[in-house]
Amino acid sequence: MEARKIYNRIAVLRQERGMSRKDLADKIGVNFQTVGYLEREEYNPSLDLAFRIADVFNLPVDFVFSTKPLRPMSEEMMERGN
Amino acid sequence: MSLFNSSIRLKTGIVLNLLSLAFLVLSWSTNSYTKTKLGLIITCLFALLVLLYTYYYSFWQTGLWKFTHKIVPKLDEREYAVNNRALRFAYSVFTIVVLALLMYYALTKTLPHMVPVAGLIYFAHILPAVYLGWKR
Repeated sequence: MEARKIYNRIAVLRQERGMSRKDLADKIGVNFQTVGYLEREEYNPSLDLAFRIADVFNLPVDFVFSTKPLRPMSEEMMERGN
Repeated sequence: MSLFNSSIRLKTGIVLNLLSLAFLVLSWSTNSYTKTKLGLIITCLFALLVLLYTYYYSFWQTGLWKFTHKIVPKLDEREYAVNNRALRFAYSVFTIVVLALLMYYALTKTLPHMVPVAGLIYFAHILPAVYLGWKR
């Protein structure tokens, strides 16, 4: 079965928090190269890993990951504010 | 461009490694490439040098050998999935090669020499790295 592409905001959230790939990798227990693969959306994480990533950013998992292309965060924030 | 070059170089190294292994095993087993014993030893030594050099360049320096020989608890879930794909490929290819060799030895009623057996052991170990290097 062909897996669907999972889109994510890991790169933006990580940079916003001033974290390096190594920092994030250490927190979620993977190799730093895996963080690169996740950010480039070349690897779909398991449900467990997705929850671990969402926990690090303290955000709901559906805010970090989506099966549809994600809009820029600023756009989404503006909409929620209005 | 450099990525392209390194990918081409890696693939060339892999092909040369496999060819030198095949040449080494075949020339030792059949003894048909050379007429003299000294010639056989020289050609085998040359093939062995190419094998060692391309092994170092393609599998050791790139970390592919180490990666495919890591124990499971040291792998994260992506590495585990990648390793599984490589091992799956290696298992299929190795099984076909061994079965074909067994068939050959059974049909010719001969016994394998030490060199083909050692070659097979080496082949089994590099196959997952060959897959990963080729797909890189």
